[in-house]
Amino acid sequence: MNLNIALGILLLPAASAIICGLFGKYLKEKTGWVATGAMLGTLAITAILWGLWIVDSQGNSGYVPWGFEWIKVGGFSIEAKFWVDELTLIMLTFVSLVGSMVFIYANGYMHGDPGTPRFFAYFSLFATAMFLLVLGANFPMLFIGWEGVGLCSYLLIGYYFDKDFDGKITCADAGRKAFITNRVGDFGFLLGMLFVLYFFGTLDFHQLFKDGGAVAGFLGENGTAMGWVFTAIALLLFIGATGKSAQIPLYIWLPDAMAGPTPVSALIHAATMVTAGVYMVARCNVFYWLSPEAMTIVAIIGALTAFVAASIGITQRDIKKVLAYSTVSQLGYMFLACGVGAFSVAIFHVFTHAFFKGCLFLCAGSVIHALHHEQDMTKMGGLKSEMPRTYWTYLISTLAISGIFPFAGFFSKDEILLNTYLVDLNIGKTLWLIGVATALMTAFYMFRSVYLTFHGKFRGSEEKWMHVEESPNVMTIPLIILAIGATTAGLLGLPAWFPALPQHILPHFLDHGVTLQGQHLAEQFGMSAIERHHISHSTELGLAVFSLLVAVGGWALAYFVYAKNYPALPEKLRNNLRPLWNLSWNLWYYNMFCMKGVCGGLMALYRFILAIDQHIVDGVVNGAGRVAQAVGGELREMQNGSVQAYAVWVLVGANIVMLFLVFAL
Amino acid sequence: MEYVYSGNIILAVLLFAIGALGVVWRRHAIAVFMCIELMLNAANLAFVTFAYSINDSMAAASGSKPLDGAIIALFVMTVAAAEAGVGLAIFLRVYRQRGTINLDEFTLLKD
Repeated sequence: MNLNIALGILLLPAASAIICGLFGKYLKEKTGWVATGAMLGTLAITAILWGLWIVDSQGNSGYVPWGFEWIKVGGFSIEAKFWVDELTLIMLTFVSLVGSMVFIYANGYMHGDPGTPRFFAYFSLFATAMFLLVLGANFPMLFIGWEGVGLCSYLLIGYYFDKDFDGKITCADAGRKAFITNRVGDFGFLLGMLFVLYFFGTLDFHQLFKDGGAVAGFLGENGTAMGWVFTAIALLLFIGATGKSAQIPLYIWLPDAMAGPTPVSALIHAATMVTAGVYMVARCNVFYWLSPEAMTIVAIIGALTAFVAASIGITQRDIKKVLAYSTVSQLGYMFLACGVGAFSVAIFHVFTHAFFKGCLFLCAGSVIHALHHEQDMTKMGGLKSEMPRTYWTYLISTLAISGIFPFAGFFSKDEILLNTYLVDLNIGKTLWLIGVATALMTAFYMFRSVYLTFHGKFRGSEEKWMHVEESPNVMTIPLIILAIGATTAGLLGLPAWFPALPQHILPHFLDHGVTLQGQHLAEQFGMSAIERHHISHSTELGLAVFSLLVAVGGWALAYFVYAKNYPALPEKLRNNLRPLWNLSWNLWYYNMFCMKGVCGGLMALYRFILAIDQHIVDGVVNGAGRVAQAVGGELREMQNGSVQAYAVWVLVGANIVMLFLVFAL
Repeated sequence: MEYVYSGNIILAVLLFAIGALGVVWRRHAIAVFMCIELMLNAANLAFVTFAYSINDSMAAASGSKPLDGAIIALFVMTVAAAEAGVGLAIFLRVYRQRGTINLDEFTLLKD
């Protein structure tokens, strides 16, 4: 099969970005259709790649034939090469599919905005970078895509650069916050890359991870003695992932990233870019498999992030912030899955999450659009009758994210919880409990947003109510398609107890190709890897029913509080649980800690260094100059033009020479 | 042993010192010029004196009487005469141009 066609996936959005950027002045809102066309083209090419994959009975992964040597320094070279395997295909599928839907939707959402060409230029550039990230065959290519999506994220968060975001910071500030926070993570990522290069001599994924590749060679040479190398690399790469995928301690940028237009939030800050960290960890699963310590840390961070973000989501009033914290929380689930060795399940959750979270954000955008940029849920309500399509798609996605059978989220989330339950770790059951508690909160805050937004009475102004109407087809049809995905994507990963239909299609597909590479290596070289217990299908079914009951419990609680007894009961709860409410409303004070503590500390350090620089370093430099100036000022008095003064100096000099000759020699 | 010609040398040193002070002190170019001549003559005196004393000691040792010191003194006189000619001509031109030969007025080198 000729994989060169995969290059089209990179070239189409790149061409669209150039066209939208250069000719946006003339094309105006037509740029939207240029960009959408390019995106649909990538979807078609992805379909062709799948066709090639299926036709080719081998089903082999491979390099894209076209490529070139980009940088060569001594024996080290960086090649612009691309690679297609199972993981790439899965990523390409949902990025191009969800991306196409969001691009179509954006045509409706951005209608009437004078900056539309700029928006679509950045958006296409983002798609290019995201595909580059997914297709890159080595760390540098992945990193270029990684930085590219970061740049586009920054540009698009600051799209309304002249506006205030939430009263505390401007949109431009939010963009900067995202960019700078990501830099912290990228530092770890770069160090991880350098470690990989130093110890294994190559940055190419296939050369590193294949049977008999660089990592296997390293293990054969050093045995288990150099295990710390894998822990160090895994943790450094994970620092990069915590930045890009908004995990503790670097998650603070994602909620503020909601300052961008809603399609941006849907595509970049929910469905695709933020999952790049999960993709990278799954791609590098070998390093994690070989270091159980690193995996445990990943699992703990993931579980804590899931829990903390969900607890914050409960009290937020801005509909997009609720969704943002829910994204952080779901990303936590994905890392929890990675941490317990279920990398393929993590990617499965990435896959289903892309549909329902993309759909949720687009629905939120539809609501915001109808209410003329009102995002506060306490000023919404009763939109169900006016916006039926938005309501039903939002409800379906909420059912999916809450883990209600038979929607997609049920299968992926349940698989994560199951794997956490089975993992052979002391803290395995604790992590599982945290995951279940998070599932309860997820169902609660998601149905809270449903009831606040779509049920009850409208709580905004009369005038706004008069203008509420369902969004145009260009916006609602993508919603419906994504909602179908949110309903059915779970079929790709049915659990073992599910009768009749093929089970675990997507996880097995990934495990066959990529995500178990590390486990094989660990077995081959007798390294200790994280293990999982086995239990009977009926017990699995029991756990699934339990998590379903938990989700339904969260739903019922939300119904009781926000549908039946609104607004009296929420008010009462807030007053009775004031400390807890404060903790959640103030984001666990972590944001404040970062801004005042970390940034403030850095500013104090910076002022200290500035003082040293100004007074001591500059003092030495200026002092040297001043001494020379003073000496020169005195000496220049010698040259006064008077011949006789010169004669005096000649005499003085002659005397000194003479004294020297007489006494020193 | 006392040096026989120490009086001559002391005189030469005094003359030289007076000449040097005059060169530095006096404002009038001709006076400065005369002081320079004084310094040259002090040097001449020293040359001739040392020539004498060397002749004495060498004659006692080998019988030869070198004339180096005396000849150098003659050269110095020649140079001084030539210098006087050139110098006076310069002063004349300067006086024609600037109307004075007070050395304090001439500070062009400063710039």
